[in-house]
Amino acid sequence: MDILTYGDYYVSHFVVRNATVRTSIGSVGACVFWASGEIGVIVVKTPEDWIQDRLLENRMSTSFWVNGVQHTVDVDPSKPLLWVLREQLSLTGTKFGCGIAQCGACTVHVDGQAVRSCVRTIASVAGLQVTTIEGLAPAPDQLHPLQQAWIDHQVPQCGYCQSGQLMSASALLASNPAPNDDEIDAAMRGNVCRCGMYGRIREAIRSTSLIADHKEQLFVDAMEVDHA
Amino acid sequence: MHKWTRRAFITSGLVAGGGLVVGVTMRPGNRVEKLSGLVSDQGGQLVHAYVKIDTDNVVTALVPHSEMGQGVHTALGQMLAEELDADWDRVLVEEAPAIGEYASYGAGRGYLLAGIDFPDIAVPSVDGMMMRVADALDMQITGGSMSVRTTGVIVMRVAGAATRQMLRQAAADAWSVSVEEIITEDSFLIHRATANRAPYSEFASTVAGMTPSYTPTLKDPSDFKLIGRSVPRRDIPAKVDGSLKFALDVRLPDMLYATVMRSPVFGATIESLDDTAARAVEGVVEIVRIPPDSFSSMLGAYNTGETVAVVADSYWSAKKGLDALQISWSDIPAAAASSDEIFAQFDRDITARTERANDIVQGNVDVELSRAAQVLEADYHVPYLAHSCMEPMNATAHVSDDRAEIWVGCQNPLGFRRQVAAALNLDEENVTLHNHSMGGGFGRRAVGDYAVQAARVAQVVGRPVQLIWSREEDVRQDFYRPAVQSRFRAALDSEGNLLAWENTYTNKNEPIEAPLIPYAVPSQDIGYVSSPTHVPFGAWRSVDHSQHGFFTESFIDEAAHAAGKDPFEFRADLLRDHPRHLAVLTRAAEEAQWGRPLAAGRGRGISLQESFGSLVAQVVEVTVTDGQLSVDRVVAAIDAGTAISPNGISAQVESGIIYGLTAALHGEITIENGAVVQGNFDDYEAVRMDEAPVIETHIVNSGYAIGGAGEPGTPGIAPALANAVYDATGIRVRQLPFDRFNFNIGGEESGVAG
Repeated sequence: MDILTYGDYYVSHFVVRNATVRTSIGSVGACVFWASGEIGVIVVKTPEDWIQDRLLENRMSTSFWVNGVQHTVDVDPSKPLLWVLREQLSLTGTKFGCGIAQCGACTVHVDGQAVRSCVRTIASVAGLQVTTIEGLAPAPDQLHPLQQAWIDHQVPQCGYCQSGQLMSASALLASNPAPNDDEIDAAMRGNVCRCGMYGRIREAIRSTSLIADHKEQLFVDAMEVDHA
Repeated sequence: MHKWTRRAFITSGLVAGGGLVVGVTMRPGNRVEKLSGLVSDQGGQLVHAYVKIDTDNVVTALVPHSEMGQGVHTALGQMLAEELDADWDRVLVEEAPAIGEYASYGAGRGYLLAGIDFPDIAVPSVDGMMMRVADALDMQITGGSMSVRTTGVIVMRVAGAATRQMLRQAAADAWSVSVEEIITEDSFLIHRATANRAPYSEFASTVAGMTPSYTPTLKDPSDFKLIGRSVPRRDIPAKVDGSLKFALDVRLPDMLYATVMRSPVFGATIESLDDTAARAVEGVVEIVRIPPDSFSSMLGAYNTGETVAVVADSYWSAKKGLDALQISWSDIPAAAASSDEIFAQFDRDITARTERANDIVQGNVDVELSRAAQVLEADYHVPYLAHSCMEPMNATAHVSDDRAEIWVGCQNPLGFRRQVAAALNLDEENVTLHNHSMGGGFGRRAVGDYAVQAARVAQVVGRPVQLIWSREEDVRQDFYRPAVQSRFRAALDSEGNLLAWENTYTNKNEPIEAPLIPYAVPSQDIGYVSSPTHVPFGAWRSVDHSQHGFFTESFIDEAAHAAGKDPFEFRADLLRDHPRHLAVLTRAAEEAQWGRPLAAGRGRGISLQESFGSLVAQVVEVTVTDGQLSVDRVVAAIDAGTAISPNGISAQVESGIIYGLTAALHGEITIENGAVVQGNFDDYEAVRMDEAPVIETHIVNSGYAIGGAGEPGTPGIAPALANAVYDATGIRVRQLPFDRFNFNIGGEESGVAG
């Protein structure tokens, strides 16, 4: 009698084919059982993984929210969010740069967090709120303060990376309204700009952060002190 | 005075008879009728080949250059609007269509036909444009940092002035007054004495029937209102809200997606292809084999290998299909090539000096070397580099029996159109090319291979196809900045005077003056040997200046230290006959406070490079602590003659510096088994924000002929950095990238080639 070890993906198939324990399997970390005279070693890490596998197996529609609008798409659940945005929804402001989460051109917000949409499966955002560059501004006739700062500092050159830059910067300021330079660097180092506009991006973020307000305030205070 | 080998001209055989046809110039006669149907009908009446005026008095400048981030549409629009006295707030800029009338160089023929003397400004541009004249005809090139200094000077200003002159004439005729009494202001014609005032639009149709002058009176620079002003760039708002459509963003009804793999060893073909698994991938529609292609362009001939494309309902499906293909490639001799062997070959060829050709020979280098108090010798190396534009190569095509449409972002729309037409066996006139703003160009998008691929695939599947390269394909199928070795010897006398400069390097390209030095060294012998490799050559931002700037500005620094002199003072002394160079060098040194003492572990380096008609000096400050190199600050000074848009030039200098810094710190494409090893930003790294220095740019408006801006910032950063590292550590870096060095163990280079 052989003992066969399977990777979690194939094993979960195996389980489904040979057992009728779907609901319980999902919550079990590991389980061993008889099947066709063999021993299968099953490793199912989390309920989410199990759901992912079901999605892969049974192509099904995914519902999620983009810029406040609910969308339901019927695509391969493993398809990255990036390509669903660009191909199914024609939201082309989110860019393809590397495909492996190394350049940041595809950055969007998922429930407010900056994520690389080229490696996030569409299944993983089911039911979640996605914000893209097209939805960054508070209203159609307005700009997000960072977008205005980008114009004021004449940031973009070719502009291809700037959607991703703005989404990373806006996620940073939403969670940390007054970042220091190290925090700006840390939040932005995932976004490559081959035109090299890092200095302008940094200045635009600084000017939009609360630090900028504080600095101006401090400057005014100092002036008043001088007058006194 | 100097013996220059104008190789580019001699090889093209076009110097004979003085029939040099260069420069962006305009054709004589009234071109409006011919062009009206070809230029977009939005934006009103075409009144001049390069100007439209609509009924609301909005002026549109037609710009025959591509936007890839350099801001050229705004700068050229400024130059036209300046001479036209147009209201800048009511000026639009539109890219001219990809038709022969707007060829960068073909129009030069018109100049000859009209018997007009060829403008001097266009002659030196040949060097910078790295052009063989014959190849340049009928192209629509954006490159060589040329747009402002040629099209801007020779076309946009002339077109604006000529249009203004015609408008004034039309108004004078209508109002029965003397044309001299008509003034222009903010897109209005004014006759003070009779209180007549009319918008330009009122005379647009009249002017459209007039013949423009080719020698209109241009403004005196002291009267400039727009030129020299940092106006906000027109393209930026659409780049902060995701609305700008790059070629990758084209969406056509019924469109399919494709992705490709070309033979990893350049030039190989497919031995066998098993596409069973690929065809089983959901969404995959078709597998298309694309035959090897040969391209001939101004930068040489290329033979690309065979390619396989997977067409699907989604890029994602196409990519999965591509990954599922079982391909075996033909075994060709190039499959044995490696970077180590290539550098060994360079070393052998430089040592053998076989058929060494000269760039310049003056004085007697051998004599000076034999009697020198001190002889310096050094070998420098740089690796291959890919461009890695942020937007991966892509093109969308729709091909029917007798027509093709291509949507693409490219630096040469006419050249691309011709390549696509040739590949499809169509007449050029039956190929319509829609050019888009590019997500980076840097020279890569001057080669039309990706557009031809899209056209061929679309022809097979009979539906619109958007062909997208993976990043890995982009890095592995580039046209590369060449790997180069450069060997130096210098002779110094006992007082530290630099008497001789000898330099032999591998493989000359363009611009031909790149290896030359501005320094007053009495004896010079600069030349090159041919050492061909199978790796395709491409124009990479600043082209040959990207390596020779590093070589010559590092070696002059070595000479300064060997002479026991300050590197700035040493250079300044040797620039005594070049006041313009000296002024730029001095400006950078002053702004950087060159003499200010630095803390231990810190260092400062300087460089000077003339390229593309501009001069750039850079001072770099670094910190090296615990073996970690940090680039703290770059102070740059640029003399581009006259800055059209100072902020635009600053942005280009910043951009050029970061592009060059990426190459200096990280950039290395290596060849193993004939193929490129690197594939994505994880192993072909770019400078990121946490590595980016503070950059200060200072602009010197010397009033000399306008120079380029896109490339001149790039060559000087690597040598200034290397010189700063030497200042901080005593370690001389003669091989890029810096990633190869471990400053903790005495600066030994790891894996030194050659």
